[in-house]
Amino acid sequence: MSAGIHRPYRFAASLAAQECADLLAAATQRSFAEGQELLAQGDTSDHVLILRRGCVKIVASSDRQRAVLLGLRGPGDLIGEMRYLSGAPRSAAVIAADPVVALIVTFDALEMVLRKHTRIMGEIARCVTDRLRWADRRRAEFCLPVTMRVARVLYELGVAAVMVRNGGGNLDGPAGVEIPVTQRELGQLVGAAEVSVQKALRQLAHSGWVARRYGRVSIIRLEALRTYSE
Amino acid sequence: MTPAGLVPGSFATQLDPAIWRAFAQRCRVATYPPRTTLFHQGDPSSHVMVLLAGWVKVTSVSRAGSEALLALRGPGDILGEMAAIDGLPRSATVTTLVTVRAQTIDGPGFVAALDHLRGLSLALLRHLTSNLRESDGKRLEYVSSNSSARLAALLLDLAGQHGRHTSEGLAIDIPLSQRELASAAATSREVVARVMRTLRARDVVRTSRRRVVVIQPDVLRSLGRLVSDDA
Repeated sequence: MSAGIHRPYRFAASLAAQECADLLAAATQRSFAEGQELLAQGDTSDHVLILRRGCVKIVASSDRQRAVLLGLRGPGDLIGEMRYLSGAPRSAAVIAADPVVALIVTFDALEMVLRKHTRIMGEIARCVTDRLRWADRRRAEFCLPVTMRVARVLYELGVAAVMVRNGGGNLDGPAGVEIPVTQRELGQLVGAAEVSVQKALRQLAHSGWVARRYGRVSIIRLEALRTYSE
Repeated sequence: MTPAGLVPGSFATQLDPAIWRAFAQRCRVATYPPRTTLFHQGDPSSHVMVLLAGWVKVTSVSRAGSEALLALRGPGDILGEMAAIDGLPRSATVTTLVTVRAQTIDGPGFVAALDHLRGLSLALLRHLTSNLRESDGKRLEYVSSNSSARLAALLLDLAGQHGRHTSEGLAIDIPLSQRELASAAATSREVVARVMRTLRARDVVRTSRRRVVVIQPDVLRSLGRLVSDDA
């Protein structure tokens, strides 16, 4: 796979001014404390969320297994659209990793906005293809050494975080962003045991590309993570 | 009418007959021999295909060169739709396993069809979300299971999705090599050979050249639930 520069997709950034205004008018805003659940797995609530501030974890568990981290979402991301599209109960829980501010749009309100702006349906499809591509990349990497897999996933999460900080598509300035994942969760993202992730992070920290913080990983050199994992 | 012999639940079966007819009129149909590459990973092309007959494998090669089998797709399934939607290079390679008949539409034509045919975009979104759920489910499975559990779960999946009832059991008639089974279960060919030998010895499955018959699905089910830490 020629990985190249990663360009994460952000739902809110893809909307035109009028589309944004109409969505905002249809939404209510709510704050969530760190650790609070925005959506529960299996619930049948009828709304989507658009993150304005803070980061959330998407966590799923199957009947016999402990919760597994599927991904992180940040400001501008759309959440909960799978149930809107499929009608099935929520496939995963969404938990605030920071203090979070989110817009809540009920399915009915979203329907009204979509009727006026049919183009937005294409952007919702983009959200889904973006996640499918992410999931496919993780599976394609499954046979790579753990350190490479960890570097790659931190690079992709780091790019998203830097873009949010810079408020646009550029990656200028020092990385210096923190990703709210534990070592165990990183293991879940890349499909590796926690001890292997510890070893990988030690190696990446030794090179000066990342630093380990409590419950978080701080990204210091984004570009180095990219070239290493290519 | 949609053509007979489609995989239940596949994209084409989600379309009502009038939409299917209108969509098919915008496509051209062609036949491809076994082991033909329909899409190349990394290509900037944007055409979209719907399989009418035969099976393909969807594989992705990592930067280090290891190949992962992401999915098998059969009659009624849509392929290449992500690039038409997001304009990014192909995320995977698609290769025919047997002789395949498929209808093709170019990317802009597909997007125009989405705009004009009500029901087409909804079916596409349903298909995308079900793919994503399947993919997330696989990752849950990978993170918390060992390789024999993954292989057992894969065989069950294949039997459930593509199996044909025979007097022996559920026959999976898709020509997959042990190497391909290994890449689908994220393990090595040696492990697949060893686990298949054990399964055969206990008459859980019977195999012939590129064919697997599942005799005791309940045993596979319980194997697929075993969780250990060697992942």
